[in-house]
Amino acid sequence: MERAAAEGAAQEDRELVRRCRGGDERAFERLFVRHRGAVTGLVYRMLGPSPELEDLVQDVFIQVLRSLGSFRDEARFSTWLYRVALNVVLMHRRASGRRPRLVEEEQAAPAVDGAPSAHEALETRRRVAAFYALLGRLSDKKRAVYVLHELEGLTPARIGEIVQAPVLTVRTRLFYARRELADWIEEDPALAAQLSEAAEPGEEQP
Amino acid sequence: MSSRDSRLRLARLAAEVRAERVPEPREPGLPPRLRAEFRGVASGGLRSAPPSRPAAARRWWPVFGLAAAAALALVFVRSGAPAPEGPRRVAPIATLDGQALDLGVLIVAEDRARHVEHAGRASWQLAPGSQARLVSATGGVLRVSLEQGSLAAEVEPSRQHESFVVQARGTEVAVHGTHFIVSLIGERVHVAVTRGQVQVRPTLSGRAVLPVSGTLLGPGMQADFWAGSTEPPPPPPHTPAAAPPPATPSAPTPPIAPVAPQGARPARPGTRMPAKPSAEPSAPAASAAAAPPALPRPLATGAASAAGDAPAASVEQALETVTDRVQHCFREQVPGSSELGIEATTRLGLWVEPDGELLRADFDPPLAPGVERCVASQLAHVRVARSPAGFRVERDIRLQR
Repeated sequence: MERAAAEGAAQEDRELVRRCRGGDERAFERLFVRHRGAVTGLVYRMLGPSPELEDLVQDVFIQVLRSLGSFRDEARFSTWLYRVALNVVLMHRRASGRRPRLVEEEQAAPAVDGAPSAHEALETRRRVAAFYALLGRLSDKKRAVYVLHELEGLTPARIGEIVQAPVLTVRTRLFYARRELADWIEEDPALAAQLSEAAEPGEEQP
Repeated sequence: MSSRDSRLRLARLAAEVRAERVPEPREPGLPPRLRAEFRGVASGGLRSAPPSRPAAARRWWPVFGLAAAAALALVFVRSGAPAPEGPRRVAPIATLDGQALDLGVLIVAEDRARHVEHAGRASWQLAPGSQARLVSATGGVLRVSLEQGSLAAEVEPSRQHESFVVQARGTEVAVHGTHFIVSLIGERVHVAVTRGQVQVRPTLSGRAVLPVSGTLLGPGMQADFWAGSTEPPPPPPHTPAAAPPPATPSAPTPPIAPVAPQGARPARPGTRMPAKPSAEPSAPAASAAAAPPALPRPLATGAASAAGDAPAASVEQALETVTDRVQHCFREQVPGSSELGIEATTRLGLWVEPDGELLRADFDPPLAPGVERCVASQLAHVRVARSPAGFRVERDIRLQR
């Protein structure tokens, strides 16, 4: 069932691409709206919170437009789009010469009617920011594989198609990415404590 | 905190990040910037990727080339014009036979595109207002220097690793595939790849094989380069008014003509598009600090072995020397009982300078960090036999403990 739905979506993408090539602006808009969320998610998770997020998403679709001639109909559009998005992100990082940074310190909003979420939300944001800072220390290849698998939920086979690498290479990168991240957490007690803070209460211990 | 705890923390954190809401776009439909871009691109005609050229068509290429050569010869004979001194301007005909071109001849595309055919090897097209010259055609490698404007090239598949190279203002674009466009825009060199792969790097004289640094661009990628680097040069001090910004062409940039049969899209001035990251030392310091002290990684992996014109004995000696050291490190660094054999296969990529210095050694898939650290220290001072121009080679190796 799922497979049939995916094939249907891929078929619709191909049709939209065909219409785009014919100059149909509405088809391009439809393509944009269909895939904007996935591209935004990938760019966001590769870079962390960034004021340039929306610009980068548009950069991805501009690149799609300019490269539509090289897209082959037998390929899956979403795979090709992920590849383009990854390349845009990596090029952006190279051009800006920086790694994702921790977001600025935020103050907890005053609690409303005893809601416990204000402080918790702030702690969550801090942990997430620390996580993105850790991700930023990974090499581009490992981070791409880690993000696509752990955060985007793609299979190694699909990731292999996107990054144009054998599945074995994808698994190797994933293994080292996880290990490096875990090592960094282990080596930094302050970070480990920060990551533990909100996770401790009520969490089952191994 | 144990390693297991760290992994659990990491898994929980990843789940938390997965659950985090990604920011919503501000505009519901197509943003104006994309709409404008679509109209701009669509006005030039969006085309689909071309199918592979049928074998029958390939067979006719030499015939077309010969016909073009004959036509060219006829033009010269009939005109009876003496050969001018210095750079010559070629008569404005649509197609030139590359094999009949003299080295160094300036080819000028004034009001319309000029097409140059090197039968069975490559063809390239100069956009109107562009100039280029063939600078060498030895060793199975065609080298073209782009002096002005834009050039689109299509290269036939070849056993030669880099059979076609375009030089432009300190940047060198070497073919790993079939179709790409190089444009001079002000101080920048803009490279757009439609099919296959190219490597972009600084132009270095005297190199016969793949140099050690550069940027690999794949299909659909475009990027700007300054003397082979993706980083623009710093502005000259105290001359803000005299120095134009790098993205501003100093003269009207000629329009870029796509190669019609391939449906290539023109590269656009000012585009900053994706490139596969180079493993250059320009990587941020934070990354260098975090990475294990292994040797630098190469740009391309998985390519066929390419040792250029290096003597086979030099290549073999280098491979043997390095493989021995890697094997030694593998035995030393991989833990386990002596009764249990462990075997690993990896692809070794090796870069060697003409004086025998090892520049890089890379493993795909990577070896354990401890093994790579050991290899890095073992190879730090190793030199192998000299070779005329250095070389790059790749080979699958099997390691056993």
